[in-house]
Amino acid sequence: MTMLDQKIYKYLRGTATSKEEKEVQDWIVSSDQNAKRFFEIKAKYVASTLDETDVDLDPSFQGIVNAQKTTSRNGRRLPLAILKSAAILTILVGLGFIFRNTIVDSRTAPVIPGDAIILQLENGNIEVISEGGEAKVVDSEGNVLGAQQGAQLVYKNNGTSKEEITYNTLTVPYGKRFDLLLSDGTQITLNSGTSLKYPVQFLKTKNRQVFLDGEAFFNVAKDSLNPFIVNTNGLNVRVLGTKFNLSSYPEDQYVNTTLVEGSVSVYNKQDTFDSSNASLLEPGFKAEWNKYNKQILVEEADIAMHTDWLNGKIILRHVPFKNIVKKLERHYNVEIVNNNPELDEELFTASFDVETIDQVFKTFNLTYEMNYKINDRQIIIN
Amino acid sequence: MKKGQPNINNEFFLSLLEKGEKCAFETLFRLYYTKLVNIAKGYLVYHQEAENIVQSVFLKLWENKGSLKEVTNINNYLYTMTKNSCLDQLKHEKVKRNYIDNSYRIKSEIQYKFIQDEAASLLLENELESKIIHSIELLPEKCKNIFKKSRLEGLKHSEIAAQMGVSHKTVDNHIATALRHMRFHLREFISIS
Repeated sequence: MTMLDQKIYKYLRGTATSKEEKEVQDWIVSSDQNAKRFFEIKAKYVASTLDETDVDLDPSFQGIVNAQKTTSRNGRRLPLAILKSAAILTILVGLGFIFRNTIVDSRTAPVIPGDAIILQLENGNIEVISEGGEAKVVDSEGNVLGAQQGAQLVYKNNGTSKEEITYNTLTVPYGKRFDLLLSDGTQITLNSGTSLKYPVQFLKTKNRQVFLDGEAFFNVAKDSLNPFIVNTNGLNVRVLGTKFNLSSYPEDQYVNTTLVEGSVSVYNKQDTFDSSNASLLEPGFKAEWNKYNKQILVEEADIAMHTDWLNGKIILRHVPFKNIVKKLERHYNVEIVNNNPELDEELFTASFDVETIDQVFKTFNLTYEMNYKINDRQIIIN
Repeated sequence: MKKGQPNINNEFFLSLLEKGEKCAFETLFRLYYTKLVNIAKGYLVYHQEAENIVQSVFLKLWENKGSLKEVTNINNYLYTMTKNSCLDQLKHEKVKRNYIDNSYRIKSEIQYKFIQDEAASLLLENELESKIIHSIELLPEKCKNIFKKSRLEGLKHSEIAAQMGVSHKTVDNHIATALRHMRFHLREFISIS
């Protein structure tokens, strides 16, 4: 996947930052050829989402049945549901300004720094979360839905039986990590370079569903009636209550699901879930899903290697250099340019936590002598 | 109608609709609603309008049920109606929003071109059709036969019972199961597909 494909994909999923959104839009309108290409990707994307839903068929159907019976004064039939949502929409538009103003925390400048943790609200507004700040998430009625507690954003379960799901999207840049506590009690830690879209409140009758781009560790609150489903890059991971790590960066070929506790099912997004087409994982195992051939390989996993990022560590055991590059880039927020293709296949075993990127490369150099130069945030290997 | 292959393009749904059969309408709704909403979301700038648009499409379908003679392909009909309604919505919003909302303008321009892109339309329409066929195929076999006879061929429960040599009650049960299955199945698609 090229950088551009990644951005288009994020754009379509609604997880792109406003800067990325602008880039994609500029690219689309810059030529007919680009537009054509985008339309094709978009059509395929929409086709792949045809069955995704957070609507309940029964009330929607009832709405139509009622509308058939409802005759408005001038004799024209109007769907009841439409009248209702028109009213709600009007109120929402009216509340827009209040919403916009109450939600602001310690927002300073309108410019969003590239290394900021960003919270995108349902209405598209962007909030910058500063570490150690005290951001609050407030809904249109002024109810506090969530609040920042140090390096964690905590959503409350306010018990309201809302009919519509609203989503927030949290994006963590390279070099940072952030914790999230969802309203159902599920704890999630987002690794560097990760976006997660999640419901602000979960509906009682619905599956709990979130959308991940990147890597996160999930500690899912038990609710046997409402499975928790992580949608990611063509793969779904379905659980009832469990601890697992899911690494699904758009730029990686594999999506890795590593189970620490409980059980999870992993299956292609195109398939309907049933026990025959899903791979069930046992603790200590990982499912490696290949994006290109859509095959799932289940094997015993080195749990520490997959989860030690939670403690700020990087553990490498016989990992080829080409797979280490992205990890380092994300962890240290640097750019690594490797001009030595031979090095790509070289295997490394190491463990880092407090080391600087400089020390990391010195360590590598002990195993494999490489000619590298560090210029601030860029490392060039020749 | 070929055995074992539900032919959703044929006149069965249409003739049932013309007769005012609510079950044909409900079946179409359950099969198509979610999918059309997602297509509408793909065409609109504001997703929240998608459900309203598709509900209106189904209302129109029901209101026009007496004049569906020219329609030969229900899949094409529902898809086209949805698309056209989205185009109307885009035009309507354009007038309202263009002056006040800058970020809307570019999104709307792109969506305008997307909705009129024929290759994309064709892809979506075909995908919609194959998903629908798949949904029907996922019903348990016996249940499916009875369901098809009832909902697609328009046979009465007593006629099906006679044809298949089962009791009237069994037919009722299978139809109920089929509808439940579809509800479940379509809902399960939510997260699962």
